[in-house]
Amino acid sequence: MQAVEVKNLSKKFEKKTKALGLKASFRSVFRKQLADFIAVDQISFQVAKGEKVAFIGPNGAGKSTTIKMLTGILHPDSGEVKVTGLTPWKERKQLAFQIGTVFGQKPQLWYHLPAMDTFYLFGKIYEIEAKKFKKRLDFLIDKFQVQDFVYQPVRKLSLGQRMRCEMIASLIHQPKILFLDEPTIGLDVVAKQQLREVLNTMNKEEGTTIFITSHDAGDLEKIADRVIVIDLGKIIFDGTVKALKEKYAAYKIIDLKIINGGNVKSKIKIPGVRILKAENYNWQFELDVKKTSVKAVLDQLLNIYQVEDIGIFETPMEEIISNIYAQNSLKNK
Amino acid sequence: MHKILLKINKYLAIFRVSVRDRLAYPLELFYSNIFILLITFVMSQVWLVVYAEHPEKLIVGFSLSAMIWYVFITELILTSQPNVILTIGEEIKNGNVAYVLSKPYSFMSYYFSYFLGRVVVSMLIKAMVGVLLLSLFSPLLGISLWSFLAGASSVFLAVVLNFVIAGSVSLFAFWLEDIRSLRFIYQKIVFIFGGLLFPIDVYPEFLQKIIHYLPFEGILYGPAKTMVNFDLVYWQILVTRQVVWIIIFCFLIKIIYGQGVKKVNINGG
Repeated sequence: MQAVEVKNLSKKFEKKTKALGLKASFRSVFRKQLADFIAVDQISFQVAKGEKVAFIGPNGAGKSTTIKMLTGILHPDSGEVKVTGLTPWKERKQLAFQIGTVFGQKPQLWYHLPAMDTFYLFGKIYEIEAKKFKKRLDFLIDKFQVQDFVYQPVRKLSLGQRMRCEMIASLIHQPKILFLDEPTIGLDVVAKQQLREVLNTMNKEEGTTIFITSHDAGDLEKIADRVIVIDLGKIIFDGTVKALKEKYAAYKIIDLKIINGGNVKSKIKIPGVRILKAENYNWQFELDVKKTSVKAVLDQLLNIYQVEDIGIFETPMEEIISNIYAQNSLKNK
Repeated sequence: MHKILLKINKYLAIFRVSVRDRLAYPLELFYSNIFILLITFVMSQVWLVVYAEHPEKLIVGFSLSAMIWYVFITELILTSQPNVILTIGEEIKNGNVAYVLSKPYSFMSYYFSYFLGRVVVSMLIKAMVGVLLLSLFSPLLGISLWSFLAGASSVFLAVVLNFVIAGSVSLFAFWLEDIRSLRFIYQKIVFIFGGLLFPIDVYPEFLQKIIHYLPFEGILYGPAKTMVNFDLVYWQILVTRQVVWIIIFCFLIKIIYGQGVKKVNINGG
């Protein structure tokens, strides 16, 4: 049995539209202008147990709608979903014992009370036996390093500290699948890194399946082993992070530091290679990986120059993602 | 049996956390709850004028002291209730229901436990301050332990009844853009048909007959009258009506929720 099975899932919303002006306002009193907005359009995918899947897409692509259907919050218009073998919107309460949820933009901790109160409350809500709960809580407190502030009211915590406590609240019942909707939003670099590390540890040690939506390329690179890209409600890519890079990383950058100088422009003529910078001994090239290989370029350069240092850089993940969205939006125009 | 206990336990835990949450700022809580004294004082001045000529007289069966206590108890019940319609309505609108829906408990039972925690704290503070002061100036005569317990039981049922009616109204937030207007209407209906400030016995007879067929009597008038003018027969009728209305509205909630939850519309994050 797969952790998540989605087949032809669709969801549309009704959106009110209103023309400008007073006349339109009066008209809308008697006749509402409604337009259908397709948020998720016939998507299908599966997630295996223990997999770490990043579900990415631009704003309004249908990520949050999908995650909310998978967790039983939203009812779909059509399609089938099984999460740990259960249909989320029909077996919401049974499913809640199997999954954990973190919605980065919506807190679940009681704001005026210490996080510890929420943990104990969740212990009761998830019907965890007292001894087992205590052991689990101690383990998570240690793992997330929250000992110093777990007795302070949540309103006094920094966003990073709060997110770590949010994660504990979501993991207290040892869920089989963790759904995270933009968990790193607003976090600083260190807090993001800590969160990613813990997610990877939970996945490794407890086999927790991770399904994460994010706008942060770092989440994708540091957590996921598979990426599903959704845009305009449709899945436009589903594969490993490596496959994503191979498909959409259009170029690589080569930084070169040479010992003997010369006119680089006259000497380097390889199809698919563009010179970005040529300052004395420091040069930078951009190469189109579809037209030429790194090896071919390096062979030529090493033949001509005495090289002191070489750096080869991949297309930044953020740029890859933005390329995918741009290509898809062009295709749909 | 063990499973039922676990279920009760989780709602008790929500109740407990809600009480703790409400007690997080004790001073703010105290100030916000003593406003009831001002309303009771103003209304008692009105009744002092009405009873001025014959202070010993009974008006619709209420002595002056009983009338002042009636005003205090109806205000106590009303102002201790959190704003169920707007709170649940807003949670549905702004998407905060996401967490409530992703936990293993019943949507409305969660909110009931949460609100009950707030009601208990608010009511105890108001009652402590109010009962102390009122007893000094206008002691309530003829109250016994049994009439107090009977009154307290109907106050509890009044809180539940208010929750199930307001709760079922709040669920219309699944369809409506703004439910503030519904809250306004509901509040005014409770004021008038519930018997806030004036016992419903002062209304014309035809109106009283209509009111007896409505649930609002069980929210304010019924429990307040039971506390100040205990009548065993009336109390039995009151409690039966309260329980019947609670059952009816629980069914309504089940139906409205079942339809409404399919309409949850949480845009964006």
